[in-house]
Order: sequence, then C-alpha cells, then structure tokens
Amino acid sequence: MAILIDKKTRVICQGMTGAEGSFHAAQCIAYGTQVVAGVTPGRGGERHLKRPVFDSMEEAVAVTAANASMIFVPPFQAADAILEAIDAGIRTIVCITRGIPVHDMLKVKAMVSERGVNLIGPNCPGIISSEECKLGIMPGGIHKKGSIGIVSRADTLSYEAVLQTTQIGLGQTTAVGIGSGPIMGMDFIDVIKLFEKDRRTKGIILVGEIGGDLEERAAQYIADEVRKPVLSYIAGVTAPQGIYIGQIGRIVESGKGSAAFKCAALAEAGVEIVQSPTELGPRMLEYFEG
Amino acid sequence: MNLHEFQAKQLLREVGISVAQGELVDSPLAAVEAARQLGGNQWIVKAQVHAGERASAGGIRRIDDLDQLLIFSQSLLGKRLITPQNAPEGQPVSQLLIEVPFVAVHEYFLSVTTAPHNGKIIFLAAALGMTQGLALSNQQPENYHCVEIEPVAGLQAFQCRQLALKLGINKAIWLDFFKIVKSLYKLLIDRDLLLIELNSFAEDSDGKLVVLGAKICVDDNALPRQAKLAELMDLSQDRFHLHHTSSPGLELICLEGNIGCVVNGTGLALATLDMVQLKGGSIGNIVDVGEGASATELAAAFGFLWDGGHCEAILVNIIGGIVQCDTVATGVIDGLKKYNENCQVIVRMEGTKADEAREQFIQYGYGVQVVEDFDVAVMMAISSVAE
Repeated sequence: MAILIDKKTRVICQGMTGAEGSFHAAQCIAYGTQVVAGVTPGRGGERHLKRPVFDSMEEAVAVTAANASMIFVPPFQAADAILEAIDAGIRTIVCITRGIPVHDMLKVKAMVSERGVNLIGPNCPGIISSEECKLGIMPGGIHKKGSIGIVSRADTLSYEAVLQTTQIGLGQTTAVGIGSGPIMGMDFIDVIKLFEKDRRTKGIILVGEIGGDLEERAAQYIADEVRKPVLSYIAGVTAPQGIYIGQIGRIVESGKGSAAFKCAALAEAGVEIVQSPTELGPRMLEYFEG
Repeated sequence: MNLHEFQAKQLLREVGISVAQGELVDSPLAAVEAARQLGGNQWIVKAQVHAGERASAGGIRRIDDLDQLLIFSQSLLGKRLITPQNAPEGQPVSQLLIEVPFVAVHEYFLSVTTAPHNGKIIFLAAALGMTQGLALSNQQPENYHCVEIEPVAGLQAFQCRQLALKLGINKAIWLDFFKIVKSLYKLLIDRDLLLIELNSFAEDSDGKLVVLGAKICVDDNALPRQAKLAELMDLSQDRFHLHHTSSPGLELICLEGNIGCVVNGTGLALATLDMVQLKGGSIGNIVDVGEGASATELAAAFGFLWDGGHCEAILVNIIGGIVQCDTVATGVIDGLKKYNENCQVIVRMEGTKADEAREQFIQYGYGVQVVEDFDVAVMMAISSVAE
C-alpha cells in the first residue's frame, strides 16, 4: 500500500514531447511507472518514448483507461492542461510547471475543490511511491520501499528526508512534494490525512519552510486527528528577518510565518521537531526502536 | 511587481474611473510649471516610490506657495525616501506627482485582491475619516468590511450592493459606485493584478467619486502576457534587483558570512544556512541554481560569491533531481577557474548524475574536497575558514 499512486497507476504525460517532458517521462518509465500515453495538442498519431501521443486528454483516456496525469507544459498553458485532465475524468494530477499566473490558478483551484481532484503542485517535484510509481522529477534512486510517509513544501529538502530514511533502513511508502506556489492543490493536511489512513505508513515526516501559514494549519489538524508519530523539520530557523529568497520573499518580517512560530505550533500539537534535516532519519528510527 | 502611484492612476483612468487631477514631473522647475498649469492656490506634492506610508516619511505634502513647492521638490528629487516600509535603505525619488487638492465630504478605503489562502478574490472596504488623501488612517480591523468573490462565478450585483451598504454610500450615487467596483474587478482579472488598493477614494459635495490614492501590484508570472505592464517596471525601486540575474533559474541571496554556498532549491538553501549557523559557522552569499541554470550561467554568476569580500570557502550542497549534478560541477569548476582557482571548496552531491560530478571534481583537484555526508560537509566548511 501507498497513497495516491502505486504500480497499477496508469499515467498520461501532458507535454511528453517537450524537452522537460521527454527527459522526465523517460526517467519515470525507467523507474517502473506505467506511462501509457502522452498528450500534445497537434501531435496526435505520433509515437514518443515508444508510447502513443494523442491530441486530447479525452481521446487518451478513452483509449488507455489512464487514471493519473503528470503535466510538463509551459506556464501559460498549464491551467488549461489541468482543467482538461479534470474534464477527462482524471482525479490524480501532478503539475510540475512553475510560474503559472495566479488568476489562472484561481479558476483551477475552484474546479479542483468542486470535483474532488487530488492536484499536486504546481511548482512542485511531484509524488513517488517507492519502488512502484514515480510522477515527478525527483531522483528515483534514493527512494526505498518502507514505512515512512514524507510530505514536503521545499523541493530539494524532500529529497534530503528521503535520503535520510533510506540510509537508515526505514524507507518510504510515498513521498509528496506539495510545492510552493502561491495557490496550490493538496496541502499538508490533505496529504497527512491520507498517510494517517494508510496501513503501511507507520510514521510521517513533515518538512516545512518559513513563510505562509501551511505548517500552522497542519499543526492544528495533527493535534485533532493524527495518531501516528509525526516528525518535522522547518527550514529557515536561522534565516535573518526580511531575508529575500525566491518565492518566500519578504513575508517573514514579523513573528508570524517565522520558523520559531511554526515550530512552536507543531510542538504544541505533539509533533517532534528536529533542528537539522540530518536528524530526521535517526530520530524516526529511535522512535520505532524505543 | 509594484506600480508607481501615477502608473496605477493611469490604469484606473483607462477604465473610466475618475482620479485626482495631476501632472507627473521629474524636475523642480517642471514641478512649479505643472502647478501653474493646474491652477488654483494649493497643490499636493507626492514623491513616487514603491512604498507606503510616504506621508509620515515626508514624501507627501500639501503646499500653497510656489517658492515652497520649488524648495520641497528640490529636497525630494534625486534623494532616497525612507518610509517605515522600505527602511533602512529607502528608495530613490526620480518623479513627483503634483495634484490639485480635492474637497471631499466622505472618504473611503477600497481594495480588491487575490487571496491565495482560500482561492477567492476579496474586496476590503472601510469608511474613513477625513484624511484628504494625505495619511493612512489607522483603522481598526473591525471597521473593514470583507466581501468574497467566487472566481468562477465572478462579481455579482448583490455584492456591489453589499459593499455600498457597508460603506454607507449615498443611494443617489449607487450606480456610479457600482460602476467603479465592477471596473476594478474587471481590471484585476484582465491585467493579471494581485492587488488594487484605493486609499482613498472620495466623494465631493456634488456626489462625484474620485480616486485620491492608488496602489497596484502585478503578478510577475503574468508579465510575459501583459507586455504593456511589463514596460512599467522600475528596477531602481527594487531593493534586491542587483541580486537578480538574467538567467531565470538562478537566484542570488546576499548574506554576510564567510562561507559562500552553491545549492539547488530554496529549501536546501535555508537548510544549509541553518546547519552551518547552528554549528557556529556563518553563511555568506548563496547561489541557488534552482532547477535549470546551465553550466555557463552558473560560471558567469560565480563572482557573486565574493561580492562584499567576505567569502573564504565555498560549500557546494546539491541534491540533483531536475538539476543534474554534472552540469553544476562543470559550472562550479568553470567559475573557480574564472574567479579564484585556489579557493577551498567542500562538495556534497547526491541524486541525478552525482557520481559523474564527484569524478569531475576529483579530476579537477586544487582546493576541492568531495564528501558524502551533509553534516561532514558542514563541519569541514566551518573548520576550513577557522584555520
């Protein structure tokens, strides 16, 4: 068992014929993912990576009975691609694209909520169920089948958490990078809810970062609903106030959104906090070995 | 991206919203000339910078004498205006907006913004005291009324009425008010704006509604499809623009420690910062290769690591995914050759093509040490600068 995707998941790659789509779809196939088709409007009838390419999601789903989609299209076409996947009945959608305009995502968000779609991203590394199925851009080799569920906002840091749990022998059920766009699909709560229900997931690692309030909201949910052990690392404990880093911007100017604020909220919810990402593996192991 | 007040007002004018009568000038003499042209015996002089709270910082003043207007203009133009919102550096003033005072009987705050936390579009409104467009009144949060719009359904007529009722807008001018609300909403969507804030808009004794102060933020991600707005960008106002680069994937972060860093991804940048600083080290400038910088772009940006003159060693911490470690290795080695061949470099790489990358570094030699563990890399970086 894993969450959202497993070895039976049948995947369409939207934008598979593009440079990024090609590279990463090939990596996903090599990992064992059942990529059954690609969709690129205007390229229907061709074959790419030994898979059929369709002009539309509707056709692709009808022919291949796919049930998940992975999106690598340019930012201004991405909202359309997500909505097309939803329209074709896909309920697990991973959008890797970054830089999608906010107004496009507002419409997407509304549709996602209405149709009960699991959208991961945009601007994210994707999702991987270890040794079963990978929809994303993460390095597959560091993942190992096991018992820890990982959910992360920061891209490369989720790889760090994976590496830790692999090296220490715990392995992962599924690792989800929820991304860091201003408007996103699934958040910490949506993913943790699934990990809590998943029988094979024994412990949960939440990797957060400064800015916004996703971690604070997750803390409240964990306190109320989660029985499994949750371990967390929040990046940016020592970041100077007002630091300007990418999408985090200058949000962290007062107490709110700071690492200290987030750690306090999570600790109050019974989450164990580690000061360094390299402690994630050892501390999780300690928990299971008493 | 922020717009200047005069640019925001121009956008509002284009969609048929009345704004205070005024002229934009870039010299003290032009300021006096503009005041003469505008007529009357009182003017409001407003420094154009991308920051709020300009009035309390001395960037906005009401003046009734042309000599004083000249002196005040001289005192602003070419200087930096420091407000509570852009301290400590402030921002340069290169233009002034000279406006005719508006005699208001009521003033209101009205803004419309995208709300990422719940995926809606939100109007915020408040009836203000008499500020005459000079100062932000410190309203209590309970005085602000909020109306939420479903982006798919769009703005509804009843929501315009809600806003009018909550603000206590005179029924005789409801239709004019609705027109403004609808125009703002349409402008927000059509031009990919994240925020339009009217602070304030006012009603005169004849029931005419005029915008006195305006602020607009544009979605950076949408600029390629909003070519006219992209032209309005004023880099002189961006405190961080020196640290942006021409390559979109690459991010430069300016800090003052002596360990320069090359990382990929915001999270890893922050984690590396934490690891080094919690162990007593001090991080200097960071080059974040994000997810797509080429080796050439990385090598070209390498000089940034030594900006400020603090850097004594470099910590390369990369977990390849979309970024391939060997590409980063080539960029790092070319950058070292170009800027400082003998600098101590500690390299920790994992993920896509990490083996190839480690091999490249070993071949290169010089001051490069390749290690397999994050903790070890951090300790080595700290001890290398302590020596």
